[in-house]
Amino acid sequence: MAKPNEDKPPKSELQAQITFRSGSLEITARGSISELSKNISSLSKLAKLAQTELLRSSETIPEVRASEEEIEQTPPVIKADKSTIVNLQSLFDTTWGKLPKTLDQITNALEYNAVPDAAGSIGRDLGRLVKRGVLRRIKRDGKWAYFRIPSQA
Amino acid sequence: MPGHFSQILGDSAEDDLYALAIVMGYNVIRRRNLDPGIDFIANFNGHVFENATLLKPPFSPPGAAAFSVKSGDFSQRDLEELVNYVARCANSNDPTLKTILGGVLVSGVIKSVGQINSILSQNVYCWDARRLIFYSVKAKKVESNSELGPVREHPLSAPLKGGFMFTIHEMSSSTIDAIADVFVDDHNQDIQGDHISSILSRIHDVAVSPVVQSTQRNVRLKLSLHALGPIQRPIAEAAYERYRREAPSTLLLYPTTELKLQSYATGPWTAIFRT
Repeated sequence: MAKPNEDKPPKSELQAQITFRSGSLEITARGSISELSKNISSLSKLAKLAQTELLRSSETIPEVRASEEEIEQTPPVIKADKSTIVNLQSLFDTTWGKLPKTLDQITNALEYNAVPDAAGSIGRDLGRLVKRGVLRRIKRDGKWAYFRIPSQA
Repeated sequence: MPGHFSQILGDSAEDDLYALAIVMGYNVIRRRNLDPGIDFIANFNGHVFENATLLKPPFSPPGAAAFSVKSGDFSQRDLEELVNYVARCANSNDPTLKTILGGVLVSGVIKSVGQINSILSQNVYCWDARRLIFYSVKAKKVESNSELGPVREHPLSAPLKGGFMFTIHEMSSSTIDAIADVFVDDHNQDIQGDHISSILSRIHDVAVSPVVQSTQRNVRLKLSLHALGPIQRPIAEAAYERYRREAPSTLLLYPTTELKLQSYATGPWTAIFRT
């Protein structure tokens, strides 16, 4: 006795609606049972695409962040300039500059790039960059830590 | 001797207001105009402390303003004089005077809401002692925030008049700690629950969201609200708590016990020891 083929899409002109929800994403498809069955794999692909492409630009924060520990530790390589203030701007234009950095870390980063300067004059230049609206700073254990946020609020 | 003393007071009050106007973002274009007698003429550019950009106070004339400064109270004659001077400026051949579109009468005493509204009906904005304390607290806050980086005052959503500043105070691997300093510059406005929700939504949309996007961190926010008018505290706190529970996951509001609500309607001086 032949068994009914369970993989075969059902045939029916009865109208139906499928709603797929995942987090803040919701996809709704309407049509006959035959049409919906025929296109079920396309709907699945659409849901995956929407999750990767659309939710990327929404406010959800990724669980895994790009190796911030590495960014914290390794000073970036910059195009050295005669002016310390230009070198500082170059440092903070990199991803390294997105996380708060103390004067010691900044001094080390300049040394790493073979453009050292005295801590006092680096501090003065950092203060100027804050006043120019290029950098932000916060107080940590009584010391300033500097960072840069690309789009300023 | 008494006449000399009052002259010293008048000059000193003028210098004090001049200093405040500068840190509020005014550019004084002329001092002590002789005819008509105006203490100083200023227009607004909003740039202060090198890195701060402020909004023009909503309770001020459009264009350049003629400031008349009184160390204490003023008389009806003083008011009529300023109204007359502003009218004369409109017909003047002096290009600076021609830009004046209204007057600001500065007084060292506290005026009632009715008195301020009555004066405004004559196109004169009365900055009384209450408002001067409000503006002074705001200027102090802008100055301290500017030490941490660029400051931008964002307008609140209508019908609220005023603005807010968003300042980052700490950053960890997952969270940014920030304070939103809100200043509602409207003596007629009674702050209620809907206003709190509107303020928080505005802060979220204009400041929190872009920071979350650019840093990939949640924002833990403290709200500090200064209002010239009264604040319905229990209603405001309930609205804050409601918003706090329903806020987007990226916005973490501090508990209601950390909410700072400062009204200047009564006892405006309390802002000095509370902030």
